[in-house]
Amino acid sequence: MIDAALVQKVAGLASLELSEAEATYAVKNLARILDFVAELESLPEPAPSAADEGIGGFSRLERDDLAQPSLEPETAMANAPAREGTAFQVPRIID
Amino acid sequence: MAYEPVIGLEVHCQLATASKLFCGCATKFGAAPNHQVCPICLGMPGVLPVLNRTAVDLAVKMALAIGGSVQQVSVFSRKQYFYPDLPKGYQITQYDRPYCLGGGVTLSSGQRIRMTRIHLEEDAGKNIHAEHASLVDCNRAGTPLMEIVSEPELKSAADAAEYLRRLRAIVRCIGASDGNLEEGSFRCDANVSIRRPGATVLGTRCEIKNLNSFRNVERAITYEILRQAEVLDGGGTITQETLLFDANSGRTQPMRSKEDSHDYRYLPDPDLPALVISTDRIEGIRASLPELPDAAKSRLVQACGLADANAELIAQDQGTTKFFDLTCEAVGASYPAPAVANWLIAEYLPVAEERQWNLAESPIPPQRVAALLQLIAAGTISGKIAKTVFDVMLGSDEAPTSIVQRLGLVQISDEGAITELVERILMHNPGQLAQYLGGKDKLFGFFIGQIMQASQGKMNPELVNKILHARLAERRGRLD
Amino acid sequence: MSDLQPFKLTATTISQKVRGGEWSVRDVANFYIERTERYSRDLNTHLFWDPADVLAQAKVQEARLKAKEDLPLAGVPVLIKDNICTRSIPTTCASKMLAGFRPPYDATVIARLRQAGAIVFGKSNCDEFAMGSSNEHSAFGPVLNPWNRAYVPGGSSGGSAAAVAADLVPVALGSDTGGSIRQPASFCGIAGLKPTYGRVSRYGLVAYSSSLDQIGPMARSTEDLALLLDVLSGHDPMDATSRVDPYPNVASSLGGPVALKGLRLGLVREFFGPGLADGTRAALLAAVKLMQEHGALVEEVSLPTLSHSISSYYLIAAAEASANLARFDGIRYGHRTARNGLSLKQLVKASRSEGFGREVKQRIMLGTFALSAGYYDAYYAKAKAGRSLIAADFAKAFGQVDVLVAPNAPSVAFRLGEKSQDPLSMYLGDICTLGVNLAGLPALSVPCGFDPTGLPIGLQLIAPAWEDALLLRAAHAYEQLCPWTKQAQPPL
Repeated sequence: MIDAALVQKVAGLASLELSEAEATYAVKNLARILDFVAELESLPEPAPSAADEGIGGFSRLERDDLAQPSLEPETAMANAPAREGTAFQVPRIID
Repeated sequence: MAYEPVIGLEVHCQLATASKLFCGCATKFGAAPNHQVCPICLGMPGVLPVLNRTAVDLAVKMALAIGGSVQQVSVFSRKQYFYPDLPKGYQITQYDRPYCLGGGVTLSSGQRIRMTRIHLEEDAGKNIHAEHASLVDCNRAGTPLMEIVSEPELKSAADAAEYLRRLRAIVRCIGASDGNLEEGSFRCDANVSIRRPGATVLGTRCEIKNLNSFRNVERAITYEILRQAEVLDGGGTITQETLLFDANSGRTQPMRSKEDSHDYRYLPDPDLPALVISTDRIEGIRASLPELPDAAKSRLVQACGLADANAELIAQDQGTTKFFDLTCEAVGASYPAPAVANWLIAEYLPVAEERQWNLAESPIPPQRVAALLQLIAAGTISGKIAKTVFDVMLGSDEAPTSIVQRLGLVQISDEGAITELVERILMHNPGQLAQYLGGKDKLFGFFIGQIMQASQGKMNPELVNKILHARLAERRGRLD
Repeated sequence: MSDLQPFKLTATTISQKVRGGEWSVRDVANFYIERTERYSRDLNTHLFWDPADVLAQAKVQEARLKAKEDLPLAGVPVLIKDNICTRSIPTTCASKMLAGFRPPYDATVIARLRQAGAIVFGKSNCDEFAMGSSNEHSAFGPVLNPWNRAYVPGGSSGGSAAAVAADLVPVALGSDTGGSIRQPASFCGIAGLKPTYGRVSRYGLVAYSSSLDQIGPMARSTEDLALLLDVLSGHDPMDATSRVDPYPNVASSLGGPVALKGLRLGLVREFFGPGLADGTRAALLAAVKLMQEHGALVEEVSLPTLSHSISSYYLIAAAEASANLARFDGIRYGHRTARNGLSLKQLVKASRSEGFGREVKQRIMLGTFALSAGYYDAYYAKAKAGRSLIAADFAKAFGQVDVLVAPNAPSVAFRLGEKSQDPLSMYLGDICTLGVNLAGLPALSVPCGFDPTGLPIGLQLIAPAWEDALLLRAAHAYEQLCPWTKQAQPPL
């Protein structure tokens, strides 16, 4: 079921490019892991509310709608690999 | 056309909150790039989203305003895809469990367009395209949005535009959004397909994205229906595509970036607990709902006796409705509501639109307008003179009575004075008089004009009319 | 100061003596600076630390002491796992993807530490993005186990564990998603606590698996664990998954061995099967026997659905991680490829592929696959089903007993390189710890002996949700009877 084509497709979705060696490794590794986790197949699915309420009893937190100070633009840009003024720069997007 | 258009609309409406959906950055429009960002909306490592209470309140208000069913439990999900304006590499949205299901908007034709759902989600940032590169501005990233999805029940481009106008009137009325298409706080995508009348299966649809004006919505849909019809007539099939509307050419075009159907890999967001909206909260919000445009229109027609079209116009905007109500209240019985409406629509609304005034915060208070209308009702000034007075009122705080006095605009209703002037005008225009008496009835207007000019419009037009008519009739009678 | 001796100080004593005026913050800081300078490089425990900054912080805390501020962690140096954001200090998550990244903000736990008078000593090495059980998956080299440098310290909080074990700091912060505090604590002969999910804010913890991650303290005494837990615990308005609840002080209510009287201990049968190494089994059973002699009641409990832990954990964690790591695209921060002439799509792909290590990429792939169209129901949905069953099993067990007993791993530390080429076998070693995270429970490891080769063994105790205080009392009681960290130190 896990083959090179599927691995390439998944890598594409995850925005990763794999070398040939990495791809071969991924096929083998993923296949082994998926074989292992196949044991879950026998489980019945839980009711939606149980799965979504989460664990531990959350606080159902919401915050007040108050505008807070934002970052200084220079701080926001401080880790930017490429910038133009206070905007992040990327290769031209063709739309 | 042998085809029946089927149109569904998706509206992304920015909520009028002070801060973003999941962080405290301001949502004000127009800041310089990345001047309204923080680690959370920048998607930095380690940050977490916390939900904005007011965004939920406004969203619930909208659901109630369109008669939708507010779900007590709804879930935020991560919609994953890579794009520079999406800082986290996923958008926090609601997928399989939105907070509102159903609801609808009724068109003037009586057809009720049903909503599929409304859900809450965060907006993406903006990409600005330069020659050599693209630039990413995250100011808008994280702004709260309601995505309002209609069932594919609209049948024409005109209906689509009307649906949008009504929807926008509602969001503005309840204060959920300023509904501004040009500024991007109210964005519309249209799903268009066509089929043979009577067919039960839907045709392949195309999605036209980001239409930024009501006019363009109508133009784009109109074009697309024709385009699809041409394809089918030529024996071809419709390819499911995402399209953009080119306002210059008036045509829809496929988006160049071939987006294969995305696999968004939705995942319930583990950072956000399920959204639980209690009945108490819903009822509290319901109690705070203002009079909605449809209800206002009914009231204006039934209780105030307005004509349908006028009621529609006034009811579309909550500020205008309020202004109208207050003016009527202040003016009392002397100037009936339909007349107030006529005056408002003819004289004030055009000015307000030109000056971009919102009647909710009218620079001229309704009481002062009422005072002006009372002067007309009392016959102190004519409707025509009232226009002059109103012009002055637009530029100053002066009361209408004072303007009238100061400029000597009091209407002359002294029948004696009017008769005197009428006689004088008739005497000074013997030729036209003779023609009139000879049968040229049209010259009546000429005499009115002369009288108005001579009196600088100050004479009571009804009386002038009555007296002129009487004096001419008397002369005619003498001839017989 | 002659009082400042290696392996003799705890955070508790430091803060007491500093507040009492006996020791100065500066002297304590210098003591640890000297030890770090001497040993951290060889053990590779530290990814970033700056003695000048440490001393500058010491000055600040001294001033606050003088101003009579109440500082429960006065002068205590704390080493921070490098997946926790520290303002202006490099936070790399041991990944090339974040090399040089300096967050513009402190994690909430860091703010709390500073507020309490602690010194943020530096950033510790770990498995890349906290994905690993041996600290061999760091982009900056593996960490070595101070007890035997041919062995792994455990992971993913290997740097913090080794540093505390070697007394380069009295306490450290780690993070635990599937055992990443407990297992390295066990391998390194120290104590480590994973609090109940929701007790300690995750704001500022670079997310690996959001519904499983928790930050927790690592120390050489349970007293220190309690001291730190008190400072770290509490609702955070910046974390919607942190709980709003009062958190009574734990450190002051630890008690002593008397806490063992009538305490019902449950040995988890599934962990004491044939896969458990003899040395580990012997040490655990000896610890249990000792507790029994002091009044604890012992029985066996069975949690059969724990057999699903590995599958459920790895699918859920990978799925959440694949989404959490999608933000690393080289656009706003982090590694961007130096290759030229790439399209945007290529740029993002290249940056991510260069920045992430192999294990991280594999987990992203697994998670992406599990969530993708057509596979969600078969994998992710099923994993959630497994999780619910495991949580239910724990709840049922706590109907019979107060605290569960288990190993932290099937054996002691393994050799460097032994498992790093076989991810699945590495995953299998997590069987003892994963279930706790899936159920959101508090659990800790406290040293309980050594195996015949001299490598440490840890006793894992697990309590019901929100019973962190009970957990620490039980561990403290045992530790009072058998203070292993006082009896042996790693050869440095």
